[in-house]
Amino acid sequence: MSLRRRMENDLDHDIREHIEMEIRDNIERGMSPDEARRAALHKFGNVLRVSEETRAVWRWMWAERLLQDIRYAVRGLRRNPVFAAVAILTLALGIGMNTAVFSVVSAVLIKPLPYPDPGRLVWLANYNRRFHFEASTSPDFFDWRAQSRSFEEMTGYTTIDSTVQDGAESSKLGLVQITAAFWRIAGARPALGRLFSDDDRDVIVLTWRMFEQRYRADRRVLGRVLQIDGRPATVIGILPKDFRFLPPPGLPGAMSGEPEAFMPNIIGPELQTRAANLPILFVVGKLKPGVSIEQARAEIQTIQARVARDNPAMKGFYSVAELRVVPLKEKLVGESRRALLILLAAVVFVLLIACANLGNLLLARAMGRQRELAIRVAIGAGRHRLLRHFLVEGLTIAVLGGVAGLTVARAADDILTRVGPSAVPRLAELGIDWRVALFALGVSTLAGLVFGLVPFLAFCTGSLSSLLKTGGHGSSGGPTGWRLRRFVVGGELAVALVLLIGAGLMVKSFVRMYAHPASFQPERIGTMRVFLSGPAYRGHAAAVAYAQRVLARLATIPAVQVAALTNGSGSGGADLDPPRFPPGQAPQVFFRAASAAYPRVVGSPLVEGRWTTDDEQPPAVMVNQAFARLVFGSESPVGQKIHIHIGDESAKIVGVVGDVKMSRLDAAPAPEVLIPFKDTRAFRTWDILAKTSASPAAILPEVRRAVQQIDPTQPPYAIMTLQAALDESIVPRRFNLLLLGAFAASAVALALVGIYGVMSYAVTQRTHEIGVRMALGAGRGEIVGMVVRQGMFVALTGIAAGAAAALVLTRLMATLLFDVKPNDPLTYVTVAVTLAATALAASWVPAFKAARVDPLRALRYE
Amino acid sequence: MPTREDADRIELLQGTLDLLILRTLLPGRAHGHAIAKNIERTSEDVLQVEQGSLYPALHRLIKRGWISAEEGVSEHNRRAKFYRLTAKGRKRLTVETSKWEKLAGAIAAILYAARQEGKS
Repeated sequence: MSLRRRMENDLDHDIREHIEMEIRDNIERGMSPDEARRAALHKFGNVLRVSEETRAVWRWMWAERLLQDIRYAVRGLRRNPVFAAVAILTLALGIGMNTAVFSVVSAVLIKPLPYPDPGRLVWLANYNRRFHFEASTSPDFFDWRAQSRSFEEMTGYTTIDSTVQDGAESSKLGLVQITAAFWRIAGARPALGRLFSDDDRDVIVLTWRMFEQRYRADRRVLGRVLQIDGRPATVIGILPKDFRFLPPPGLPGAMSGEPEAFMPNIIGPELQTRAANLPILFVVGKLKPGVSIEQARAEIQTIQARVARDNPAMKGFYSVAELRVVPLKEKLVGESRRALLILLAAVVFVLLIACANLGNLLLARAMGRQRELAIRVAIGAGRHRLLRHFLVEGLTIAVLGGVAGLTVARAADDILTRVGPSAVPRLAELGIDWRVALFALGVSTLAGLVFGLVPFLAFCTGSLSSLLKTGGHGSSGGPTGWRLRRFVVGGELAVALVLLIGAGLMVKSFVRMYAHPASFQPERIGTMRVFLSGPAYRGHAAAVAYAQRVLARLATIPAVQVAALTNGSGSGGADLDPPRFPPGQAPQVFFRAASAAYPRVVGSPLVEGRWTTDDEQPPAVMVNQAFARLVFGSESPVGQKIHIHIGDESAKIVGVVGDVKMSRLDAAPAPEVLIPFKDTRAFRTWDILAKTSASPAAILPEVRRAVQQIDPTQPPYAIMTLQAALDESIVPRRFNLLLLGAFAASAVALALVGIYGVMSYAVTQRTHEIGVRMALGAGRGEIVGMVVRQGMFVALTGIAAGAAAALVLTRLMATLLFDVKPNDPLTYVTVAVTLAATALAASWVPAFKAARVDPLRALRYE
Repeated sequence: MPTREDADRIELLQGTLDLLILRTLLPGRAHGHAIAKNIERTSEDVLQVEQGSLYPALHRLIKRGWISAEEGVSEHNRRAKFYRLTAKGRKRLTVETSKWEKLAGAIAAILYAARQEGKS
């Protein structure tokens, strides 16, 4: 019990005892008991007031003592500015990095979605197990909405890059077509005009950004008629500035940027039936209050099972479909959760190492002051007083570091939002709010406690009298201190190794992702997309004619070596002719319409058979190796016939081409059929690819001009190199690698500083001993060997422990890796050897210093 | 809420009382009641302190480290707290005593001179 508490508890007893004594005295003097009590109380005065005033004496004592300890700590820091600067900077970086990562975690994972009742918003979709995408279809949405009772609202939408024509000007527009229920789900109110209802036709609502940038916030835009993909639409409303469209933007190939406008999604009767193809739709629902997501999932599951039963013709689609009914937030950020938590753990590791280093520094300082401290204990400072002293010293540094850390965190947040706006969903909501500030405070406090405790433990486990006797000289701070410091440094190296292996595995994943066949040169291919809008391009013939004009025009540009057009958005079941699979069970594959030059542009080699031309009669197609493996196994596909979307006609497979990763770097190429573009069904999007011997950046403007000239109402967009497009497909992975790599590098640097510091200190402490050894004939080499051996023992023990820990921990990051096993031996060996080599260097320097000790001076050293 | 006069009186008492407590504890340890009694008795009952005001003063002295408290048994065989002068307190007593003597001397000198003037 503290002195103050003891005093206060005893006070009432003391006062009672005092009055009793006075009463006894009074009785002895001859008063009656009553009289004696009255007189005693009178003489004592107001008991309540006395006890209150006495307690008041102690009230601010803890604060005064704390202030005293803080003043002492600050004085200590001022006396040693280099130490103070190193300590505060290390911590500022450590806490800053932690706070920055936490602010990402907070913005992405913790903050609720900015819609009313965010907990009741649900994403509904069918996950396609073959192609790994999540989407619903219009008829499914129609049945769910009509038959389910769990939902208050349900909205269906599609997104598209469409073309807006306003007068003579035409440009690309990120368009969301959505049912009006969405406005109620999002709690959206118009800033100007009104939002549409389900009865509205040919109306459009603009986002604030669009309103501000394209129409200079001129409200006269309301009522204006725009041509959206050749159809008129009247501007009826503007959304407020802070409105955000949260639902997922759809599949790759749909809307490529942020949404800029909204139109009603009309689900006509033709979209409610399951005919030859199923129109894609995305669905978000809002649960009724009190309905659990499990109930809703079970209900939709029942409906969906009935749908699949009633539509055997759609078996190919429904048999690979897996119903997903998940919280909308989970859908948006679920995939980033693991990566973010791993990053948070990694950055905490970095802070732990930083704390351990500071603990060691404080310990070294404490060892230098052993005698002073021992004397303080001897004259009654008490262990708890000493603990307070160390903790306050630690916390003072931690708080200073934490404040500086917030500045670091703010700068880091700036960098993060700039590096990867698309890397992590909701990253735009990043900022330092109360959650983040609280976290920084918590982390600083914890850090302060940790490295305040290290020197205290070292100091307290040693015996006091031995400290007093040795007086902090000649010995290396007692065996305990030395052991603890070695343990701490070994631990630092172990943690650093874990992080380094994690980063190493990710680096190797990147190498694997970028492992292309030499013929695939995405860095030399420029791409752009055209969406053929308007009534002129309704028919397939128009799209084909357009493609032919583009190809002819591009052939005249000298810098373009070879150019091709392609459309790769379709997928479906591909049965052979004669049929090989039961109805509805043909393998799901991608259908790619392409001009003949396409495989040559992307560098896809011919594996078997022959190339196709632009005019195949009778119809002929090529397939890729993934397709050949999936459908034919070891059998040769060449000469087989396959049903494609050309009526009942089938096409002959005449060639097999090598696989290339055209859309995502972190996925194996999908099975694909390459169909000459004239023989495909109608579609409206063309991807234009142009290969050059120089940099695509140089030819892209010219290609763009050429394409635009062919039809000025069809502006090309998404203009970039294929390399950039592929890079974009792994932005989240790049973001993770960047952060984990930075953390691993910091961890290694800190751990090396740690081992260097400890070895230097050990050498200084053993100067006398080294002198004796040298006087007795030990050579320089032996001295160096001795010190290095000692350092490497610590390092190798730490590295071994780290490798063991990494074997367990890296399993958690399996999903972050690509084509690399978490226990990849090569990575482990490379990383461990590198770290051991740097640790060797770090202990070599102090060893070398030790060897240069002058024996005479060392012997005198005391 | 003490009136201003109250506050003045307590302040006046405070320093004096501290000095008297320290002086009382010079021969050895004593409990609260004994200290109060001792002050009254040695001053031949001139100084009638409100005994309660002794306690805030005692605790103030403990806080400053001039006296320390310890458990003990009173002459009536009951548990009581005994107060004892610390080394710091002993030093303080010397300082305070000489201060007080100077102050008393100075006041006496003034008062004496005034009486002389009054006589002439």
